Amino acid sequence: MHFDWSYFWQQLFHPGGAFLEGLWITILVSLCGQAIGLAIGLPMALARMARMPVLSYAARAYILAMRGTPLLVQIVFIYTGLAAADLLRFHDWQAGPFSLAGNVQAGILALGLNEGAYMAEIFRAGIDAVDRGQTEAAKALGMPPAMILRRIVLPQALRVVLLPIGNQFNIMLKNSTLVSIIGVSEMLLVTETINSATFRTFELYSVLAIYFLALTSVWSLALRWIERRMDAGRTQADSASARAGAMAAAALSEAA
Amino acid sequence: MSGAGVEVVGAEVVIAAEGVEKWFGSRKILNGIDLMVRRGEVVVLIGSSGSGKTTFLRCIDHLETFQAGRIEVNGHPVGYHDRRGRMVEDREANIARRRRDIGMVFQRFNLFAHMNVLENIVIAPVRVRGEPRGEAERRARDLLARVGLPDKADAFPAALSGGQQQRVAIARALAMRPAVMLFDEPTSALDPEMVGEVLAVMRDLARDGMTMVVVTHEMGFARQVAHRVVVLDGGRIVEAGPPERVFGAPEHPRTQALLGAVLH
Repeated sequence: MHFDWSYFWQQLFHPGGAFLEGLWITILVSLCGQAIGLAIGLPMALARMARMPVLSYAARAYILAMRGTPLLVQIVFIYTGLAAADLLRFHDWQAGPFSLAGNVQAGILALGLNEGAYMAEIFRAGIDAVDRGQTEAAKALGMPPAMILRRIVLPQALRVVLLPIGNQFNIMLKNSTLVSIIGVSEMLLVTETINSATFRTFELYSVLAIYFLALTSVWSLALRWIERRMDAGRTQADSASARAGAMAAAALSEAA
Repeated sequence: MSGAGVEVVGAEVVIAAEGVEKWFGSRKILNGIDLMVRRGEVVVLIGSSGSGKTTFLRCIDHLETFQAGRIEVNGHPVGYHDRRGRMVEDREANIARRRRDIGMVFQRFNLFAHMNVLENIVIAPVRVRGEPRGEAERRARDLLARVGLPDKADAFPAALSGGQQQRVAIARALAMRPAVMLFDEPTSALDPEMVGEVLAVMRDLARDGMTMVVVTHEMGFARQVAHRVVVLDGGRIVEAGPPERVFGAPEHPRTQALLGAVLH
C-alpha cells in the first residue's frame, strides 16, 4: 500500500480554500438545519400531544413520513422533485455580501424538516417525563394551560431534552454530507472533487474523516460543558429524575 | 345527617355538592354524593381505599370530571356551566378562574421542582392574580413563618424533607387566599416523624377559621379538629356527623369496620 504521508499532512494542516469553504458550508448547513428542526420540533410535539385529533394526526403523519423515508430521498425530493413538478424552485439568494445558493437552501430545508420530526419526538418525551403532579399543582393554583406549559412544564422538560438534542446535532453534522447529492459543496463533495483530480483517495478521505471527527468531538466537549453547568445549578433529586427522563428520551432518539 | 358543626351553623355555604356521580368506564366510583360545607367548617372525609373520598375531593377542584350532579363553590359551578339545564364542561380558562379560590394540597406535595420555595409560593399570586411581586414576596415570607419555615425561602424543594415540602405546599395554596382548602391525604406520603408538623399547621389553619375539606387516615386529627366527619363507602356517604358521635357510636357497619381496622 502506498500512503503519501506528506500529501496527507499537507491536506490535514494546510487544506486549500475550497476545502475550508466546504467546512464552512458543512457547519452552516448543520446549524441552520438544526435551528429549523428546533423551531419545528416544539410546536410539532405540542400538536402531536394535542387533544384535537386533526392536529395530533397531522403531526403524527408528518413524523411518520419524515422518520420513515430516507433523508437522502427527502433531499432529492425537495430540491429536484418539487422543481420538476413546478411546485417550488429554489433560487439563489443574495443580500449584500451574503449569498445562499438555491441548492444550499434546499439542503438546509430538507435537513431541517427531517430534524423537526426527531426534535418533536424528543420534546414529547421530555414533556412526558415531567411529573403529572406538577401540572396538577399548577392547575389547582388556577393557572391557565398556556401558563402551565410555559412556566412549569417546559422549563423542566428543557433540562431533560438538552442531552438528546445535543446527540441529535452530532448526527446532523454527519448527515449534512447527504446534501452533496444535490451539488452542495460541503466537505464531502469538495473532497470528491479534489479526489477526481488527484486520485489520492485514501489520503483525502482520511483527512475528511478526521475533520468530521474533530467537529463532533468539539461539539461533544461543548455539550458536556453545558451539561455540567446545568447540573451545577440543580439539586440531587431533581437531577435524578431529570436524568431518568433524559435516558428515556435518549433511548427514544436512538431507537428512531 | 347532622349538618354543620356548632361553630358554623348559619354561616354561608362554601361548597355545595349535589348528587355527584362518576364512572370510570362501566365502574361507578361516586354514587350520588351530597355534601354541604359552610364557611369556617372543617370536614374530614374518611373511608377505605376505593371508597371514592379522594376522587370526590378532586371533583371539587375539577381535577376529575363527573357525569351527573353538580358541585358549586361560592355559588358557582366548577368546571361546568349550565346550558339549558344540562351541565357542559367549561373552557379551560374559565375552569382556571374558578380554581383560583380553591386551595389544594396533594399527597405528594407537587412543589415546582425547578423553583425555590419563595418562587413556588409567589408564582401564582403574581402570574394568576396579578399581585405586585414585592407585595407577594412579603406575604410569602409571612406564610413561610406561619408554617414554621421562615429560613427556607431560598431552598429548592429537593433539599427539603417531606414534612417541610408539604408545609411549603400549604403556604403556596394559602398564598392565593382561597375560600376553601382541600387536603388530599396530606400526610400519607410522609415518614411518621413528620406527620405531626404538618398536622400542627393544619390545626392552626382550622383554628384561624379556614374552611377545610380533608381526606385523611389520621383519626386523631379528625377527632380533634373536624367539625364533621363524613364516612364514604362504595362511592356514597354512609354516615356523617360530629366526630364524638361518628367515633363514639358509629351507626353504620362500614364505619364500625373502618374504625376497628384503623384503631386496632
